[in-house]
Amino acid sequence: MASISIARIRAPRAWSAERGVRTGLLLALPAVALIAAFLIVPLVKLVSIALGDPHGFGNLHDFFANSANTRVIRTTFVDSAIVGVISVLVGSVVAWCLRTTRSPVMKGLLWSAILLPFLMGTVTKLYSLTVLLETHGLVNKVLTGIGLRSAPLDLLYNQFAVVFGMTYQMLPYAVLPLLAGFASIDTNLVQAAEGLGASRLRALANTVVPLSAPSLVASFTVVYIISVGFFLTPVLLGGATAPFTSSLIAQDIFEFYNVTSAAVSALVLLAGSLLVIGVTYLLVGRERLARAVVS
Amino acid sequence: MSIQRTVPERAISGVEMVIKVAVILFMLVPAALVVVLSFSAEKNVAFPPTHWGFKQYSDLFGSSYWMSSVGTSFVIALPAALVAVAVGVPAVIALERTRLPGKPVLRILGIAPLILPGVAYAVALYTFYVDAGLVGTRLGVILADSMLSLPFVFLVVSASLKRISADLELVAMSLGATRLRATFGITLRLLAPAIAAATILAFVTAFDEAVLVNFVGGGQVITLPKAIYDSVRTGLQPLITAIATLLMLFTGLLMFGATRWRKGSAD
Repeated sequence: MASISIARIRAPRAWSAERGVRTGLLLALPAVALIAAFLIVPLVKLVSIALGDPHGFGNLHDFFANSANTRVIRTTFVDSAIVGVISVLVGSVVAWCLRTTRSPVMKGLLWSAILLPFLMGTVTKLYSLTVLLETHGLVNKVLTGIGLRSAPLDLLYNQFAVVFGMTYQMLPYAVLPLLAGFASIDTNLVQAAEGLGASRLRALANTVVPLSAPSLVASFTVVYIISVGFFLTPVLLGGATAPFTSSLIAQDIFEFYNVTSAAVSALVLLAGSLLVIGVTYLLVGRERLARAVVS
Repeated sequence: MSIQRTVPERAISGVEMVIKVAVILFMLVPAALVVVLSFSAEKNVAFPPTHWGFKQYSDLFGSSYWMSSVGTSFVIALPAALVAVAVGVPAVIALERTRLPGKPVLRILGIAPLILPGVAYAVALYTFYVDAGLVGTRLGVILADSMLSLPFVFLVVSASLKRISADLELVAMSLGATRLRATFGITLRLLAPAIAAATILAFVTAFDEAVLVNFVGGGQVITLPKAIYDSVRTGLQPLITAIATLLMLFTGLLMFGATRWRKGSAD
């Protein structure tokens, strides 16, 4: 910190720890070039295709005029919101337990539950979920084995499978920022509230929830925007019967060669997530949002 | 009053317990399941297996298709990680140690690939690659993966550089070092563990990438995740349990190394 103030006070010559604009531009140039070529140009191209031939902005109208498309878009946003809510609810129970538990066994188990999925590859994770949920898979074996069900359940290739798979993958992403948010909360507050006669639920609701509200909102947003862009999960776990925008996009590009329609879908997803990011930004500020992404 | 309070109280801690147990079970069981099944000697995925052995592993190592996909993954993930680090580290130094204008914009753009909806970014890259003639080329997949790894370099390296005092370079210079020598001898040397950790994270990210390769790989670039994706789309091959197990070990070792280096850099 001191170095920065010294640099500001003295003339920007030799003895400042901070270097000049020219060095900065030179050092940043390769990154700026890569980002310009492989992020900005592609995004501009995407928008120009989505709003270009044949009808300009009319493409959007054509897209939404098709009720199948609107249904798929709605499913995507609703499912992602469900995944966000479940991940934040379950994630805060896990994170709060990690913050407060004194049992090393419980701590170890919860930490492995959160970190192990990071070690499995994305696709192998989905493979193992398929093995788990299939008609003759472990879950159905257990359910029929203990006599809870006489016939196996259809757990795969439907909306349930997609939401389950996405939640499985997003839960760790929800827990880590929540944990960072909970870390600054004094756990004595809960005891104090209980000591004053509040029930445990009321104590938590009146102390932890308001104090961690920004973290809750920020981690919901992170989960939501990542979920909206999921491609592998809806395709592998949802199949053809549970269409998601990603499946629609893949179909448009690889089967119908309709790049315009795919670009419009992608643009709608981008707009939807930018909207949610914007609202979160207004609600909790840049700092919190950045922290949720970083951790 | 007190009775009314204890009943919901017990219900709440019951619910809490159920959630905890369910989370532990549902997060750990899939991983445990594939590890157990990787030692099954069955031709199909079946639980519980009746024959045990290393059949899945020998099938995997005996298959030229799977082995070449592993090779492709290395040939793509290594350069992708190196590009991300080579481009990202100087940019982070520019962000933290110079009077570069427009820093907030570069910070946001640097981590944007992490936040953009994956499939939307994939379509955007695809449309651009069609024009640039990069669809189906290794170079195209390498550069796409390096974009995806770039955020991790930005996050890890800048977190570490923030903790290294900028005045150390001035001290070295007051003792007679040139600016260049002070930068390389002090700052970059202290930053080395973080750069190593960032390289590993970038590599793991690129190695695991399966969405972009589907769009820009054009079906010609078959990395390991792409091969697994293609296989899972058509059915459940038991051999993938062996891949999943080895992948977990491999990633586990790499991540362990990365966290150790990162911790080392914090001191």
